[in-house]
Amino acid sequence: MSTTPTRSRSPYVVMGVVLAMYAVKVTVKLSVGHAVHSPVITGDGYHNASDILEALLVLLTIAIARLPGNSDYPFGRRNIESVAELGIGILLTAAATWIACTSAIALIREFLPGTYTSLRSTIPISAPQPLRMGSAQFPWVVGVTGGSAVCSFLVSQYEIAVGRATGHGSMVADGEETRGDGCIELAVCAGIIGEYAFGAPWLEYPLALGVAVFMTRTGIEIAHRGWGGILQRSIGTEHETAIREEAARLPGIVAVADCTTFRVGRAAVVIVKLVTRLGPAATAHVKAVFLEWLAAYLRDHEFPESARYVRFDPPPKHPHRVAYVVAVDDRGAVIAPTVADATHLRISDVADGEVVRWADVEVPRSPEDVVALLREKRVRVLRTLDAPSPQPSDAETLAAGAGITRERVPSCVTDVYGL
Amino acid sequence: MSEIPEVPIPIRTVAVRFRDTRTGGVALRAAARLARALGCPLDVSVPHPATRQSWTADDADRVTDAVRARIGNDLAFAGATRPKPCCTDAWSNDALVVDAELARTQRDVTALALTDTEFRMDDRTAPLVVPIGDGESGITGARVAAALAARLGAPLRFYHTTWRNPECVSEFPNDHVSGAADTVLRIARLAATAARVPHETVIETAPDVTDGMIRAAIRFHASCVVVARGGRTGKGSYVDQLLAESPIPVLVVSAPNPCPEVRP
Repeated sequence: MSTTPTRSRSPYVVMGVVLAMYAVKVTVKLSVGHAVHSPVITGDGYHNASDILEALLVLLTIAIARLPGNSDYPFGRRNIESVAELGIGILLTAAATWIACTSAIALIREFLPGTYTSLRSTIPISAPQPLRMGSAQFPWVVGVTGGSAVCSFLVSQYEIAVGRATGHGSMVADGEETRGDGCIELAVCAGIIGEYAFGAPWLEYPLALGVAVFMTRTGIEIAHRGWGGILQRSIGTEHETAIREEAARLPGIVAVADCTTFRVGRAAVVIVKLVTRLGPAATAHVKAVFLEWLAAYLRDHEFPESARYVRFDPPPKHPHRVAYVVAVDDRGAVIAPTVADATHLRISDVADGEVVRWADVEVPRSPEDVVALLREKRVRVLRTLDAPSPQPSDAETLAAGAGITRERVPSCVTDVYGL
Repeated sequence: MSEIPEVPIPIRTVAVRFRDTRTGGVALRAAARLARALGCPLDVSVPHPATRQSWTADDADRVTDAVRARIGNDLAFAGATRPKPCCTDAWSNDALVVDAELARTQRDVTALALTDTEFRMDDRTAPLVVPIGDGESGITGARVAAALAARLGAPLRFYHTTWRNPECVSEFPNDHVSGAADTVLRIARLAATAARVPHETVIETAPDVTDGMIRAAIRFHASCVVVARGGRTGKGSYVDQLLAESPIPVLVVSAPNPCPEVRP
């Protein structure tokens, strides 16, 4: 009992139902079509026979798309769905164009016979053949075309729903194509009723024109979707913006460096690069929550399957060297107001605004040697205590001349600067 | 356990150690904002070595100017006091100290650990998250959080993750909550109601307690996690695990618990 809903939503079961429907349609339409000498119904029967081939191709596509990924195909083979979508979209558009042309010509023949004759003299157009049937065949013919339309609508809904739920774009496309077939069958049915009841078989043609417009739109949409999948189009700016906004709201995130998305079949692939100073433990929590959110977001926005990757990088460290002027004695070290008051230069490596390493070097005797040392150590900034009215020593004046910036710091306590 | 929330001891000062580094700047700005939000003076200390020369008015002026320059004019409010030199970590029990190291090492100080994340106290929709267990520490945390949330205008989110009761087959986490935890949750809600703070309770059966607390706080877009240290834990306190792993600021409440006064 509990497995029934799962089975009924299996793509293979759905395609089995589709194949069975087409087999019945082909048998019935060819039999009835030959019996009533209806080229429309017989033609539709052959059309359904080609649909069987298409359904088999969709079945094969699904089987290939469901193969798990491996080292050769890291995202699996889901992109084959896009190829199938593109193919179905093109076929549907072509069929719609053919229907539109046929209907337009039939309408011209009906209402503009002169134009039709001149058209036939320039373009080789085969004359549409009217139905030949009596009152005995009428209910059968209406039953076959009407019933076929109803079957098409029901099965297409089933196919589209399961295709969307399982992420098989080729199945959705096939379902949409089946729905188009249903519309055409309805138009044919209307034409048959029109001919029989009102002697107006042309009723079928404006209806078929409307259906052709609808089918063209659907076909272009399907082909566009397939094209986007093949060329790995992004999942959409609006989704990328939403993902970026959510990422920026996460704790400890300095910036969202990148958000790249693309489609593989109906699946979404999202790669987000975040800038953070958080440690590995905190990052793991942020990542877990964000991935959870991302999966739910994509599921809620027509991407039942997705691959999500989040990478964390530290911000740029802007490493540079500064030198603190310190006076060191047996009580410890303090920042001195000038080089002349100092015993050492504390050469410090700064990364991301913090001192990450320091080493003391004794202050050389001459100011020139101080500057030479600072230049040799690639020091960019010389820091001294901001004491009341300190006169810069010769070394500081020379350092300023050598392009080394002097900065005054507010406290003599080395701890304040992470030293 | 007491049923009626006690009148909290007021937080009278927000304190921070002056450090002229990037992380020191983050702590200083957070302390200044917190002091402004709570209407408390900002106490900036400089760890001045006792063995060195005495602290002069000039020293204080320089550091005061530096503090004002770093926190910006909008936060350099009248309540900000001049820096106080100190050579020991002598904090009064009515101070809230913004210092991650202190939160880890001093049990008798109420300290806020920022862990490289800004305290988003300006976002009134960001809740303060209070993890609740089955001990008194949950009540202490809830009282402080309720008082703080009232002053910040932020909502509260009580979070409880419960071990599954093997005798209960229910899938609903609420059905697995122990009697003691239920009582603590009830008192926590009373504290929030008394402080007129909008509050919500979330109960889960998370696979791991610390992971559950942290991930829930991230999901809620919390501005801060408020916890109090319990007296019973022998090894691996949740507070220490939170401090080690949380990407969200953690406020660790000391015992006895100081709270900001709730003012209408």
